[in-house]
Amino acid sequence: MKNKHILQKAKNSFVFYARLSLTLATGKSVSTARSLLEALKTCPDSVIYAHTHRFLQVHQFTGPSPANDFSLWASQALGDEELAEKLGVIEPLSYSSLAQMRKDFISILSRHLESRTDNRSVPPGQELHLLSSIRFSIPTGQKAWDLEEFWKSLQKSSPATLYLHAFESRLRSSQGISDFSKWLKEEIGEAELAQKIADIDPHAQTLSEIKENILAMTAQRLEGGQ
Amino acid sequence: MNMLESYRTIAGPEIITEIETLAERLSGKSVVHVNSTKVGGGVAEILARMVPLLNELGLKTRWEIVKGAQDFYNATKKFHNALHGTAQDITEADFKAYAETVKANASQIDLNSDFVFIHDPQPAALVKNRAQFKNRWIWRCHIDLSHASPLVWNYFKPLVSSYDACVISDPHFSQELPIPQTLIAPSIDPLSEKNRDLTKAEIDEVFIRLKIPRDKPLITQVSRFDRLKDPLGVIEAFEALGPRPQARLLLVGGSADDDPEGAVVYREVMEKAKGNENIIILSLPPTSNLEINAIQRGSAIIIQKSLREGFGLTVSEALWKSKPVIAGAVGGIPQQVVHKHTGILVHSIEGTTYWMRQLLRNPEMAQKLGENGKEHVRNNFLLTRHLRDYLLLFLMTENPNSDFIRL
Repeated sequence: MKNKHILQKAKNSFVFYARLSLTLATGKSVSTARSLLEALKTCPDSVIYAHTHRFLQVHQFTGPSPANDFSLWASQALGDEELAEKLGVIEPLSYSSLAQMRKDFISILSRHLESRTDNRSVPPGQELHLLSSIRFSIPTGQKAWDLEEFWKSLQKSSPATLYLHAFESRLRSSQGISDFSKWLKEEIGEAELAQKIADIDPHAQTLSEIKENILAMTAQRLEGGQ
Repeated sequence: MNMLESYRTIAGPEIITEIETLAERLSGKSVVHVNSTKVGGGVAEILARMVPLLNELGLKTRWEIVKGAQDFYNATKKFHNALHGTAQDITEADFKAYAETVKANASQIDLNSDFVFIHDPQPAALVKNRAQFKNRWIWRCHIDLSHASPLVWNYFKPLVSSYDACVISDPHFSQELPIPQTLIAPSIDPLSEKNRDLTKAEIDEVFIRLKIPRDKPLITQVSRFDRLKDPLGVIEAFEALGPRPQARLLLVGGSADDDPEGAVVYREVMEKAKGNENIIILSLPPTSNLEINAIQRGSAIIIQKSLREGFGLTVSEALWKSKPVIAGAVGGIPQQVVHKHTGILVHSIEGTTYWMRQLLRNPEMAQKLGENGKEHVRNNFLLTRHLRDYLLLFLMTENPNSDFIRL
């Protein structure tokens, strides 16, 4: 694990946070695809977040799980498998903005409804209750100044920390870059490792598996590999 | 070892760190929980663990109860049932008994804590006194309000609206309210007698003592003998497997002595199962936690074919034991069972038969559902997650109108 030329010190340390959230019921619900479309046009971003990012965190282990709540509802409550397939294409972690994701949901629903004359409704009790999220960032006490410290801190990190820094942070960045990739590239010159992490398909594995992958890639680099 | 530490290996080290970090932000704050009983029922069971854990974490936490005469308990029982959607004969006298009793309690209970955490309708009207204090008030509702009687809900709605936030278990229970409605699911305690790991010898001892044969896989439902748990539907679903099923059905319920309707349902169940040697009916006293634990662990498939349900924590209890679960898609069950991922959701007797057959034929699928189910419970339905959410809730009420809180 010692390879001195790699252990470049950062000017700014990487501070590890965990992303936690509380879910709120908005008191509003939808019972048809059309009413879902209307709701998506006007709801706050926190509602989009709750039905995509929060949903993934709750179902993180189940893979291959549905990628978002809207698709799951279309399949299991509305019984519209075609719509469920179309909505299921939207993978939240591939997006760097909630606005773009909302736009795509609206576009898919609009196109789907153009070809439909029926407005099927779910049975009572199967409505989609719109949720929103309150997000919390909490420091974990872990900090890294170089790649070895990064590896050690990541080892101690929870799925909630990995989720925030490897994926959700893309929503904050104008270029859609995660915290991890940005720091590795800009602070300690690890452009290649940063790119490898950016290339991970977050929907193909669980957060624990992703963590193991990033740890392995980092360890390989520490040992002098590419 | 302190209490929280004992959950580390079970719940994972990360959530323990998260809890400790959040608690540091709240260190020295005081909390008072108020409900109506210290024994019996899910609320008391949770508070009995939660209160010492909060104290251990540095939040000065007390637990108080409201007390009243018989007319108060009669009224609150009727309110409870009416909020659940059952027709009740409610009079002005009930509202009067309720208001006067809560008022009398307000002068007895010290409500001067940073956070006042009120559970269910019985103590809800204490909030009328909040102007005396500069603190945060939270109402925890364990009731499914989706079919609430308008008469009773119209009485409680202005009271609930005076809180800083309320907590419900499922989005279907939400109402139009001017305050945040936080979704916090209840939880199971993995260290309790009902859920702790058992040795093979402990499981075997229970099966031998209760004379439950294990020559064929057991399909088990653990529930009160209550029509809403559909025990007759479970028997029908099992019988549809054919005359020589490769399994036995075990229905385990509580003693029906103190529940007149339960006794009727129990007799109907016995009658329906009569003559079928593959069906076993077992009535156990309410303290049989070890026995229930062993029976769940020794079963091949767990059924919870409820027609109506609050949250249905028995599902999480079974999933925690890595069991494939077939459950009715009602109440809070779909939160616990994601269809074909962490278990099977059914809507009919035929669906129950279909999935009993599928899971008996496909043990690999059954095993995968059970494994996923256990991880789902570990992430979402253990006491530690519940505790973490309560800490986040306290922090949320200290940062109102903010949807991003950096600590």
